[in-house]
Amino acid sequence: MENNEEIGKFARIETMLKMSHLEQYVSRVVNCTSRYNNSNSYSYAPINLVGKYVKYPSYGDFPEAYFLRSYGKWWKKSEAYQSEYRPQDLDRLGAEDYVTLEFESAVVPRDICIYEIYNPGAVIRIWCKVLCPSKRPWVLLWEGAPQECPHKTRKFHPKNQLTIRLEVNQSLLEYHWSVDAVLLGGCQPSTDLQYNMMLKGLVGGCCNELQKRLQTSDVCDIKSCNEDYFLNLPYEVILHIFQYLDLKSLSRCAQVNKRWNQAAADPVLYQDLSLKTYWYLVDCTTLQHFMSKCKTLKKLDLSWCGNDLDGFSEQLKLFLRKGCSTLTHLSLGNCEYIDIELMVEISLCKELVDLRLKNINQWLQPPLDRLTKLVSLDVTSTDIQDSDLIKILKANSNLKHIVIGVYASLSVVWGELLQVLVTDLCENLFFLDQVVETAVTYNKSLVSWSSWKTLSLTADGVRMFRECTNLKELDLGWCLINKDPGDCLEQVAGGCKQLKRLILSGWRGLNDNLVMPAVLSCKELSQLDLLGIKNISADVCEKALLLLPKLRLLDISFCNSIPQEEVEIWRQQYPHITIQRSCQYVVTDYLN
Amino acid sequence: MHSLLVTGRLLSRAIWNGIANISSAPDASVQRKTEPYLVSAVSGFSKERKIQRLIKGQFGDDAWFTAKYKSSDVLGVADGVGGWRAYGIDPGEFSLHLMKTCERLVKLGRFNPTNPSELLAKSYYELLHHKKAILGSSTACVVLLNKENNTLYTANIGDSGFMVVRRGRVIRRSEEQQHYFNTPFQLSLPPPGYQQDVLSDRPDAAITDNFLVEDGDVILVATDGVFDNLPQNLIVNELVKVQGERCANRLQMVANSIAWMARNLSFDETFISPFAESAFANGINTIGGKPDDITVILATVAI
Amino acid sequence: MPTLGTYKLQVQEKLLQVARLVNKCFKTQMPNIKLQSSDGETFEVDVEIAKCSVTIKTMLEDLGMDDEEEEVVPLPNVNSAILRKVIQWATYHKDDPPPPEDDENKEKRTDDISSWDADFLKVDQGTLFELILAANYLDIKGLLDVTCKTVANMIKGKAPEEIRKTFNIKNDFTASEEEQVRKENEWCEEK
Repeated sequence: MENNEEIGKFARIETMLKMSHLEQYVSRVVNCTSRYNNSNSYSYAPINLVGKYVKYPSYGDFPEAYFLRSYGKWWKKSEAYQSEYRPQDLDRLGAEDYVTLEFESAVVPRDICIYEIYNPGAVIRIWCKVLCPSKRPWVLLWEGAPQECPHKTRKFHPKNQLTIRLEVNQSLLEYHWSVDAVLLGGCQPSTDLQYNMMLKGLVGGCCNELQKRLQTSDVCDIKSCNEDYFLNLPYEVILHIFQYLDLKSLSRCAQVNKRWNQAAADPVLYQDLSLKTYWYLVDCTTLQHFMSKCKTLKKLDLSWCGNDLDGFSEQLKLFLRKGCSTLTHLSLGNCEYIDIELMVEISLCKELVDLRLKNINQWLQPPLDRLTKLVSLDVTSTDIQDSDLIKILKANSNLKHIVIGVYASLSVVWGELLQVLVTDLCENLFFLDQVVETAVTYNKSLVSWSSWKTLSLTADGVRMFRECTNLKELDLGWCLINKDPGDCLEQVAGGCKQLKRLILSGWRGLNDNLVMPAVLSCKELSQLDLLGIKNISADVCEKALLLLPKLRLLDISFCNSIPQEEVEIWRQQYPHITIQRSCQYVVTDYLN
Repeated sequence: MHSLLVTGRLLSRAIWNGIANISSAPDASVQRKTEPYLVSAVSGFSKERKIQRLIKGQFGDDAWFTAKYKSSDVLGVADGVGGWRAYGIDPGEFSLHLMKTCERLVKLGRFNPTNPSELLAKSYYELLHHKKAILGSSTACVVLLNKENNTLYTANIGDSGFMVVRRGRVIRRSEEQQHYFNTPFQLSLPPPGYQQDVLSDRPDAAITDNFLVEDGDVILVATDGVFDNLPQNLIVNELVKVQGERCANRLQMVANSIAWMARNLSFDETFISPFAESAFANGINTIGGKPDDITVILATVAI
Repeated sequence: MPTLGTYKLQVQEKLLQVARLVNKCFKTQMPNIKLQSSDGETFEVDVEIAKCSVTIKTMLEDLGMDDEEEEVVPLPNVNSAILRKVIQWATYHKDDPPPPEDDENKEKRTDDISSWDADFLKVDQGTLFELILAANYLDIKGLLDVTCKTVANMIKGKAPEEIRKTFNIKNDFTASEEEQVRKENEWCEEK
């Protein structure tokens, strides 16, 4: 019903302008917040979104499609899980990641087709960037709650210019979501006049009407009354109510009357600030607005915000300088404009406990070792270098989580320091063994380490983790793809008795004998990931299922020595344990 | 009678397979005339005489691909090394994925149009990142027509190979790389821990070459199943038939006949094949063809 | 809320005076105490339930209890209808674990209201706001939180004019002031 209306709107404008219809596949992936590949590898990479689909209508886990790093609820259960700084402002639909796609020709969008080939249902919003923004560049084309869909390929076809962005929430999915291609259908200007009209935003207007409808859809269902009960409420109680409000609602409350205006400006309400949910609204003025409101800023999350905006990084510098004495939590994921000057500002926020700098690429030896109170550091998919990371580790000898990831040929560090360090996909970490050595020497209290796909780690480095007896999570997925693991797992199992989460995806050299020590001595294990290990047999899995009372997740996808019938039996025997097993249903199509 | 029926079906499958390949590259006919391109056809047989599931791009342990991107036409074959069966590894999987990955990289434009050996290397390293453990080893030969300079760039590792014939004369033929008799150079991904026990050559060990091509040149890219069983003069006799041929169907017929001849001779126990000659030269007294998987990609240059 | 403390103190002082007047009327062993609403109705309540009100609890502890005649605690700021609801709420929640101190994040969500509470709070605005005042006066954190969350949910997603309408609030901005605050808060509007 709503869709028809939408089509009507788009159609009318097309007819009016007699534009020609154009269908196009993605020409370039601009950026994304999450990926499964190293940057020199094309398997599972975002680039697979470019061009026509190659696997559709086959359903399954294929390297020719785009995959994200995580899925489902499992990551949220992790020790290193990064909770939002301002829960009042949690996204209603729970946007977790996005991917931005570029198409060759600008069109008035008409429809968009997403070829989901594995666990469909994760797209929650589609944004498009208008060519000539009257004010804001991003316009929402579609949104909908995440879905649990049947296990088959889906041509996701919500009715709906040049650049689009898909926001994703995978929390309901049983396993990874995967997309093969995205097709954009729309009307292309056939004359200069039409093109100019499009540039001036005369054609794009249709989107805004849609926008308005979405906005006003939540009409108030509470009957209005005859008395203003707020008049009787003490100021403190009004503040108590306002503390539950999101930033947007607070800004609207400020416009109600003078008393509300005063209450809605109280600095108590602005100690924690997260603008990630509002990335499409945030510009320099917004930042100024909040700068005036934040007197004692403790937590700041500007992830996804401020890209492609002139002067934003200058404004952010001022903001950080103002808040540096009180700021304890800072998250700047995917803020592409971060440069060395901003890094210096960050390094002056001496109270920082939690620092998240995902997907940021101009490190140039930032003086982050000035920070000495870090508990958690996430440098996922950044080009941080070994020496810098080692300096930070030494300066923060109480680090709890570390996340380093490998991306491309080298290694990637993303993570949380002191107790949590995440260095997934960090391509410029060439000597991860040395980083581990520093970490185990200076950060004995380490609880969570993640260096997923950071390839410079060797079995010698892994062995050193036995010193970290507090370690609860060890994500070393893909670290030893083609290296001989030797006895390193036995060593780790001997030292880290508290391990709850152990990720060993893609360690091709593992076999039953090498995994067994972990199964026998890490009784706390609740997540065990053995994806892609050919020599793992049903025996060790059976032992794990039997001997690990807390086991909840066992990933044995692509462990091709384990017969599927066996897995089916286990699933019945151990219904409380999720046994992941990727599938590939190939639909043979010789003409494609 | 029965076996005739079976071979008949195999042959028709091979033909169909080849034609399907042609139809996957429909834009060949709309190329501008001034720009060179390759007309190609594929044929082949699995060594196994029984009917198997036919996977596009695979004949037994052999694999092949054809792909194009902008100014490049790329062809390749690979022959999975059979010795891995003893370790419970399907030798065809490695060669198939190696070729499939080359194809994917070409289609994504992620290759250097003057360096097919780099393409092979990228494809090889890419296999490490598959969730599925792809282990084994393979020989490989990739040829790339660069339309900007009418040059054919080649890379070859092991005993698969290519041959280019111009007006009845062999103008270029790949060299065989062998460690010792019947043990070619090979790209390997052994299970970690077995590295020491396995012959493995780095992708940069590939022999590379480049040379100008002319309109009508005939290019044969094939696995050792062809070169070990067909003497060069027999091959050349077939190749001259399609000098300058632009009709994909006629090309297909010749590709089929080369594959067919190689297959027949491979099971001929009295024939003195090139393989038998080579064995004799290495002090092994044997006679007859060498039963093997056979893959033929036949292409002509159209300028 | 820095100023809430002082407010609480005032309330407690008042209550202390009241309590002194009734002169140590409770016994430790006694299961029930009597609460009297502003309109004179008395309610007999289990002491443990009454103690979910920090105000009453502090008072009882500060005064100590003896075996004298049980007397009623007058609650001059709460009428009988509201007091009945408060007791109903407290009775239902008597076995709740004490609210976590450190988990500030969870507390700030408004989508975690239990279905019982949601049903309980399906009342007219007058009652809702009186419950807030009572919860504040009696210092019952759980009730204050859930009622404030309910009001917050009524505010969320509404435009200023819709908020005014919902709560019958008078706009005391002049036209130019209103334009000024609208400009200041423009960032959050889609267009």
